[in-house]
Order: sequence, then C-alpha cells, then structure tokens
Amino acid sequence: MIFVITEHRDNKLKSITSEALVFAQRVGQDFGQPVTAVVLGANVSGLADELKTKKIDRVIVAEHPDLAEYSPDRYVEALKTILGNEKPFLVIVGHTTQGMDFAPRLSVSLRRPLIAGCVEYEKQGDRLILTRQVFNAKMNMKTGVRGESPYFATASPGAFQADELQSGGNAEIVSVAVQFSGPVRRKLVERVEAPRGMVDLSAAPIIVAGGRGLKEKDNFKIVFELAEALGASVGASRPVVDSEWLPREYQVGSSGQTVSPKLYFAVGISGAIQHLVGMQTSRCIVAINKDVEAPIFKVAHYGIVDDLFKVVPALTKIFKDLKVS
Amino acid sequence: MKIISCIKPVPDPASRLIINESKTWIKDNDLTFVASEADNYALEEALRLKEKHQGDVAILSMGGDEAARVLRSGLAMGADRAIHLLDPKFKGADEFAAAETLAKAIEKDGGADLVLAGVQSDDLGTGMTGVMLAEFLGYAHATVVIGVEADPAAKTLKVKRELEGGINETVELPFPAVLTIQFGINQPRYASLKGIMAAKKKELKAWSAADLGLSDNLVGKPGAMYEVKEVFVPERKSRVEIITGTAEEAAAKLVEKLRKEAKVI
Amino acid sequence: MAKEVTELKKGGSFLIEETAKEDVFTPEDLSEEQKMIREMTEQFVEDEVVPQQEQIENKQWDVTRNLLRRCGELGLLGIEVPEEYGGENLDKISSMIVSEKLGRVASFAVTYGGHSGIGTLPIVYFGAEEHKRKYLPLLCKAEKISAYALSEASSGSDALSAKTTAVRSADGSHWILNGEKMWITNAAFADMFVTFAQATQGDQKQFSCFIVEKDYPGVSTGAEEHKMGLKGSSTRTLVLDNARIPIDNVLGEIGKGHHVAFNILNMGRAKLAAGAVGGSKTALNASIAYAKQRVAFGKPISSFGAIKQKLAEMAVRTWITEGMVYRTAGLMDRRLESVDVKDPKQVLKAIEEYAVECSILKVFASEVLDFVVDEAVQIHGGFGYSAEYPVERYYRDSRVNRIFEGTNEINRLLIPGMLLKRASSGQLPLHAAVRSVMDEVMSAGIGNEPSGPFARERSGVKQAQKALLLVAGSAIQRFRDSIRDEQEVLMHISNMVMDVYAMDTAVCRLMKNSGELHADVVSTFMNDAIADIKFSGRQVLAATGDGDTLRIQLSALRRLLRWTPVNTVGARRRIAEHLIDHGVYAL
Repeated sequence: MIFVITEHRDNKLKSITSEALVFAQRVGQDFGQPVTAVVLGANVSGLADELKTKKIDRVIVAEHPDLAEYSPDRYVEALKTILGNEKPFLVIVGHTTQGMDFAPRLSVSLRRPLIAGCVEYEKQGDRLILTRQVFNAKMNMKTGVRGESPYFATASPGAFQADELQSGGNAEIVSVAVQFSGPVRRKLVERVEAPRGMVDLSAAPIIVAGGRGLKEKDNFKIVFELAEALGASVGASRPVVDSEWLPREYQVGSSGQTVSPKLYFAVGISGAIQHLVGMQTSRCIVAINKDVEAPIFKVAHYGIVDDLFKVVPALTKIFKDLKVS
Repeated sequence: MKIISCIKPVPDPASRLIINESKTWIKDNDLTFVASEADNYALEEALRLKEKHQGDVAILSMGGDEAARVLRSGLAMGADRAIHLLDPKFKGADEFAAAETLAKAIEKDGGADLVLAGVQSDDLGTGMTGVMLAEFLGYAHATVVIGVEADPAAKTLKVKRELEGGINETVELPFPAVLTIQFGINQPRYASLKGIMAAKKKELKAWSAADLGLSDNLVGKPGAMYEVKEVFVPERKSRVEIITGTAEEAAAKLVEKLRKEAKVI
Repeated sequence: MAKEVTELKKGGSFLIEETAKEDVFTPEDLSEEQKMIREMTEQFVEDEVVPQQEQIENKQWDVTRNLLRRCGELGLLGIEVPEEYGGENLDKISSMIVSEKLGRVASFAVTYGGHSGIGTLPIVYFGAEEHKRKYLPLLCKAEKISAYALSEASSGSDALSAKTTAVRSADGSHWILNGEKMWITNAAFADMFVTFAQATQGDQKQFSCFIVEKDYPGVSTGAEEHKMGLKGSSTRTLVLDNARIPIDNVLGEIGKGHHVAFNILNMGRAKLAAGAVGGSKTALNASIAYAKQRVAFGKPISSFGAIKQKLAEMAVRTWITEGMVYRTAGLMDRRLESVDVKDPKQVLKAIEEYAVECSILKVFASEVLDFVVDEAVQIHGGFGYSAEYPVERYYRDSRVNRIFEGTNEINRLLIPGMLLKRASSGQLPLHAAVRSVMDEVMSAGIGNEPSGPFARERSGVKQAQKALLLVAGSAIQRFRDSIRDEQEVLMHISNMVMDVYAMDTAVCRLMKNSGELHADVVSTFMNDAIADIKFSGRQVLAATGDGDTLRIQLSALRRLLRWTPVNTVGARRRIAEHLIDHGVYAL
C-alpha cells in the first residue's frame, strides 16, 4: 500500500500533492500496490471529493478541530494512528517546508527510513530504489532502504509532473477518527505575507533575474538596464538577497516568489534547486552563465556560455535599438 | 540560557567534487572541509542570543579531523566550548544515525534550552537532521527560522519561519527546542585574531560511541536507515540550445531565436 | 611549530651548510591557528575589500579608513604589537600570512603596511613607555592612522642625507621642524607621521626620529602624487613649516634615527615579499581563469603549449618564493622563542640575524611578481592592456615593489655586503668555507656527492653553494676590501646567493612534502637556476681573473654545475594541466 499525505491550505490542495500522487501512481503500478491519499484537517470533505476523482484506490480523511491548522505534534500523532492501522509499503510526503517539518519526526518515532528530496525511483527486483538529490542538486544518489516497511519518501517539487496525474478513479472515502493525548507544543501566532513592497513578479510576462555571478551590488545595474530595454521586471536569486544587493521581495525561488513568465532570463544564476523550483515552469528560459556545468542550463531553453558582463549589455543594446525602430 | 549549536563539516563549496571509485560518495580524502554554510548562521544566532541573555554556547560536531577543524573555527568565532563526536564507528552515518548520535551527546551534556542547526547541509542537503534530532530528544522544534526571540525567564521562544510563496509565520514554542536556521538570518562574524588565539585555551572534549552508550548497530553505517547504491551526476536533459559566437553575435542570434522560434517577444 | 629547537640557524648559514629539512618551516607546516588566520584574512579581503576596490582606487579615503577600522576590529593591526598595548603579539609566520592575503589588494595592502608596519613598529621598538601607552592602543584600532616619513626629494636610498632640520625652540619646549618629506604613504588621512629629520645645533647634524601629529602647528600635506599604480593608496609630501613638535616626541635617541629607520626595514622587506606572493597568486588565478574561457582557433587558449608554459612558470616561481618567505619567518620565530619578547632590542636583534634573507626575499619576490603580472597581461592579450580586466592594474601596481623598501639595487648590494660583514665579525665562517672550496676545486675534486632520497636535488644545491663560494672567493681575492666598489660583481654574486637560497628552500620543502607535482616544480626551477648561477659565475670569474687562472676556475665552475637537463617541457605541461584542472593556483 502506498500512502500520500496530502498538503493543503485554505481548503485547496497544493500542487505538490498532485506531484506526490503522480509519484505514488507510478510506484503503485510498478509494484502492484494500491494508492491511498490521506487528508488531515477540519472540514476537508471537499478535498476528499476532489481526490476521489483521481486514479487512486482510497482517500482517508481524518478530521479534528486540532487539525484545522497544521501542527507537527498533531500530524505526527494522527499519522501514527492512521499508519499503525495499516501496513503501508511507502508513505510519500511533499518535500516542502510542511512535509519536512513532520516527516523526519515520524520517521524517527517509528524508526523507519526516510528518503528526502526524491526525484526518481526504480524497481530492482522487488526492491525500491529511491533517487534523491545531493550537493545542491549537482549530484544524485540512489538509495536502498533498509529493514521492514513502511518507508518514507518526500517528493522533490518539480520532479514529478503534476499534469501527468491520472484521473478517472472512484476512490472509496474512509473517515478515520483520531484522538490526541499529547501536547501541542508549537503554536501558530500569525501568518503573514512577507513584506514584498512594490515587486510582484507573479504576473510579470518577462523577468530578468540576476545571481551571484554579477559579483557585486553595483553590477546589478546591467540587469536593470536589460529589464528596462525589454519592459521586463527584475528578479534575483537567494544569494543576491542574502548579500543585501536587493531587498527580499525580488527573490525568486522556494522561499521567494514562484513565477512562470513567458520569458525568463537567468543572468549569472547557477541554478540551485531552490531557485529552479521557483521558475522552471516559465515558458522560455534563457541562461547566461560562464560555467557550462551550471545546473541552470538543465532547465534553460537557450543558453549563452560567456561573460555576462559582455552578453547582457549587448542584449540591452539590441533591444534598445529594436524599440527605437 | 544553555545553547548547543550543531556544525557539520562539509567539503569547501569551492572545491571540485569527484565521485569515488565505488560510486558511493565523493572522494573526500584530500578535500578541505568547512562548516556547512547554514550552520554558520546558526552559530551566529546562538552567539547573539548569548550576548543578549547570557549563558553558554557549546558547539557540537561529528567526524574526524575535519570536525575538529570546524569546531576550532567555531570556538574562534566565540563559542564557549566544543564537543567532538570522534569515533571511526561514526563514519557512514545517514541523517537518522547522525541525529541519534547527536541527541545522545546532547543528553550526555545534560540537555540544552535551545539546540540550533543550519536549515540544511551543503552535502546531503535535505534539512531533516535537525527535525530528527528534536524527535530523538523529545524537544519541540521549528524549521526554516528567520528570526528568534527568546524569553529565558518564561522559557519560551517566539520564532519567525519562512514558508513557501513569500509567506512568513510566527510561532511560539517552549524550551527546550530545536531550531533549524535559515540562510541570511544574520551576518555571521569572522573569527578575530584574539578569538583565534583564545580558542586554543577553550575546552574541546571528544566523545566516542562508547562514551555515549550507543551500541555499534546504532551508529555510523550500521545505524543508517538506507544504503547508498550509487552517487552520480544526473544526465542533463539536453534540450538547451547553446548559442555560440562572440558576445555580440550570440546576443543577436538569441534575440532572433526569441522572436522567430520561441515567439516570446 | 616544532618546539624541539635543535640549534638556531645563523643568518646566511644556508650558503655554507647542508640544510636539514626539519630546519625549514614550510607553508604546509602551518598550525591550526595559522590556518584560521589565513582563512579569516582571506575572507575579509574577499568579502569586504575586493568589492570596494573601485572606490579604493578612486581615492575614497573614507572607504579605506573604514576598512582599516575593520582590520582593527579583527585584530589585524596589532599582530606585532605587545598585548599590553592592545595588540596580539603574534608570531612572524602569522604576520606573513596576513601580508600574503592582503597582497591580493595591492593598494589597500600598502595602506595597511604604511600604518601597521612602518607607521606603528617604530613606536613598538623605540617608543618610550608614554609613547606606547598613548599611541599604540589607538593605532591597533585604527582610531589614529599613522604614516612613515623618511624619503625626501633629494634623498631616497641615501636617507641619512635628509635635509629636513629639527631645531630646539628657544624655550626648549619644542622641536621646530623645517623641510619636506616625500612619498608619504597614507599622508591624505594620516593622523601622525613617524618623521626623520636632522637635529641641528650649529654645524652639528644628528639624524633623528620624531612623532609628528597632523594637528601640530606648521604640519600639512601636499597634493596627491599621480602614480603609475597603487592609485588607491595615498601618497603625498609632508610639509613641515616651522612645525612645533613637543620636546618629548623624539623616538629613540637624538642622533640614533638610523636605528629606527633601518631596523624597521627587515620585517618590512619580508612582508613586502609575502604580499608579492599574494599578488602573484592573484594574477596567476586571473590568468588561469581567463585562459580557460578565452577561445582562439576553436579551443580554449589554456590548451596551447605556449600558454601552458607561461602558467606553469608563473606557478613555479610563485611556489618557490612562497617557500622562501615562510622559511625566513620560521627562522625568525624560532629565534624569537629564545629571547625576551618584552625587550625590543632583543626582538630586533633576532630579526636582524636574518637581514640577508630579508633582502633576498624583497628582491626575489618583487621580481617574481613583476614577471608574473607581465605574463598575466600577455596571456590576456589585448584585454590585458585594457583597464576592463584587473591584470592591467596588477601590472601597474607591481612595479613599485622593486623600488620601495630599498631599491632592488640597494638590496642586491646589501646582500654580499652584509654577508662579508658577518664573515669578518666571526658570525659566519664564510672565509673558511671559501678556502675549503677553493682547495677542493683546485685539486680537481668535487667532494662527496649526497646519496639517499632526493640525492640529485640535494647535490644540485650543494654544488651551487660551492660554485658560489668559488666565485665569491675569487672576487674577494681579486678585489680585497675594494670589492664594495665593484657593484656589478656584487650584483652577480647577489643573484647567485638568491638562487642558492631559493633552491635550498625548495629542495627542503620538497623533501618534507614530497609529491610528483612538487618534484616537477623543483626540478623545473633548479634547471633554470643552475643555468643562471653558471651565467653569473662566468661573468664574475671573467671580471676577476684571466689566463690560466681563469681557465682553471671556469672549468671548476663547469664541473660543479654539471646538471643533466630535465624535460622541463613535460614538467611545465603537467604543472599547467594541474592548474587548469583546479582552476586556481593549487600547488
């Protein structure tokens, strides 16, 4: 049995859930195992109904007022109950802030393996080999889990394509009662949008984003100049923001904004996975980087391997000339 | 306030990584090791909390000479003392075994009010060891922390976390707790010359598996929950079209392609 | 650092003894603390200085001053200052490490050295207790910036002939200084100047040193010099127009200004060499990076032998110099362990023991740096000539190293001069060594060849020593005391001395940390150094003798310097490939 622990907020399933379900469907087919989606929350029957239409076998719903907001203590306790009643083979969680907040605790508490950040898997005989990323996605590692199931895995965002999710199922919805005895140690005080000022990149059709390759703050002006020539918005990778070259609101990536413009320029951005997940669905990606090995070229459609300090001004000039004509 | 900050030695990010013969890890014998970047932010945060609230900052690391080295650097930055988990048996640990070993060491040291670690390491990079450590210790935890306010009298913490999509949340949790610290939360200090010289005189104790009362099957490779089958450089999905020529030529060709082929401008 | 002191090595003894490798400190021997100091300085330079280099070069002195303050916070300004005055009082090796790392940012390094070296150390070594208490804590934090004012328009290498005068005021409360000092590093923003002048009474002139604060009446600075390089370091004149200096502001004693002036120079020269090593590494790294990415004829130029040869030779000379710098610092540290560091006289004497080595370092390292930056420009082609690439600046910044801290000519003359002085005062049995070599070669023998590991290299060093002693002996015989007037001969001898020190150091470093690549480096260097020694030796012999004597001596020289050439083409290729593979100087 394969379990997917769904992730949702404001009564909407997050896209990572679809990706995790794709992962589950594929493993399920290869290993001949049914797929169960688990929804924890309060008043989440709508989500169960939505999940029911996917090609899976069962939806387990556990509702409790304490689950209205995510809490690691409550999630661990609820999942221990639910999984304890079953004999799962693989439990898939999204490799997200939330997923990685409770999955490791669950793994320790049951003393079962957790392979985090999975991007692929393979079947070797009847053994499941999970492939995860290491060294900031520069390398992958194939791992063989040890001991008895269940095995835990978190699905790396973007590794499994949400649009491959198969529908057309009519899963059984099972309600499970959960009771809690332990304390809720961590309490939510507030959740706010990070201050992002003027910059909202989510709707920008063209983005020119700069990274550490620009070397210093002042050099960022060539990014702004190109953006101006193109009528584009400016974005930045995390190191740029951490070095305070630009305010936080410019940041594209897992802890910044997720963008999907029609054209995305990555200037001097090496392409850490945290950045890639925030922009890889862009329709057309152009990477300008000196290092041909930079992971950004894996997601780019066009690449120029050269000194950005020469290429970017050349581009700016062309676009300026185009504008004039 | 008693704080323990965990530091993982990782290959210097500037070094070139080569996969070893057995394809199970990188060749690490002649690499330089440094503290994993996020762990520097954690230690800086620990030092700032100490400066604000008094107390004791111990640093904890597992490994051979490379761990001793990052510990000495941490002492030079200003930590009060260091615990070196040194035992050939620790080698080959995964996150699970590492977390259990660290947890035992923290317990042996009498526990802590606050355990800090970087949000993720530069090598394995999954960000799970800190959370696992919390479960082993039975402490509360918060991940991806971008701000810490401690109230040692009330023994509570107010912590700001960074979530996806530009959302921040503030949570409250009690001592003892494990926090995993996000990059950029502060500006880690350098060790000053005085700090470097003072580090020599600070306590650096080494504990083995036996000191921690951990049996052989719980540490290192035997204690790991998975075995490494293969480490490899993923094949590039070679859909990228590299445009060549001088900078000016390449720029012109690119613009042409963006207009005629991709039709995005 | 090895504590078991065998026997303290005499300065210059490398010329007459076989050096045990244990007596040579190498960069591979750095302690954990020294490595941390290296990393910290490297990080400071990378994170704080390099990003502001443009402002520094544009003479934004507030940026420079702020960086000096940051150096103060990190403890970098008090490395050689005792702890009771706010310093760290660290070893000389650590001092070299810091100078080397700062060498990456030449202008700022000169600012740093002008303040923390020649601007501060005269007070450490010659200051009265009140001077130390008053100034050193402020200097260590860069709350006051110091400068050193020795040269004048008409006196550079002959500093003692300075024209600036100091006369006691009528009431005896002040010294009245008049004159103009030139080439004063940090002048634009310095708060005080360690200033040399002739204390004058009637016809009597006594060269003396004074602490001159900027705010004293009659003290001002001139306009910025328009220099070829180091544009980010301030250089002006110091104008003393009836400047009133409190009577107690004499550093050392009246008439003993030359003690202050000269004793500071040894460490200054050694640190200049360390900085040159840092500069060489920086220019080499830029060249490797450029050669890897610059494509010509469809291939990166790093794949061409002509470029590989350059990269390798830059690395070889850098590695050799680096070894000499740390060896010398190691010698000083060992000697300093046996003296009372609270007594400045003892400290200075311990450092002075290696004055010959310091002069060697200064000349050798500044010329290596000039070679490296020149090749760096060449590798960059047209772009190397453009200010768009940093090598253009490296090239300009390098040049002055052969001029200041004693021109390379002065230092080349000092090397044999000091050696002869040590010989005649009995500190170094040079004459005996010369005699024994003369006897040996005249009897057509070439003595015992070393055997065992690295026999070839050790033998090469030993034979070079003998060749030098033979040549020097011949010159001494010919010129006797008037040899000091034979500057051309002395300079040739100096070149030979430097090569011997370089080879001896390199071979010991190789023996301590043997590796295939280092063996390539050492044999490549020795191959050329022995040829150079032969060249210089022949010049000197031809100038000192003729006829049969000359013939016999030349044949002895040839015999001594018999050296089967190694395949330096292959060796340099391997070295270059290693550099290209690592992308940086990583020997």
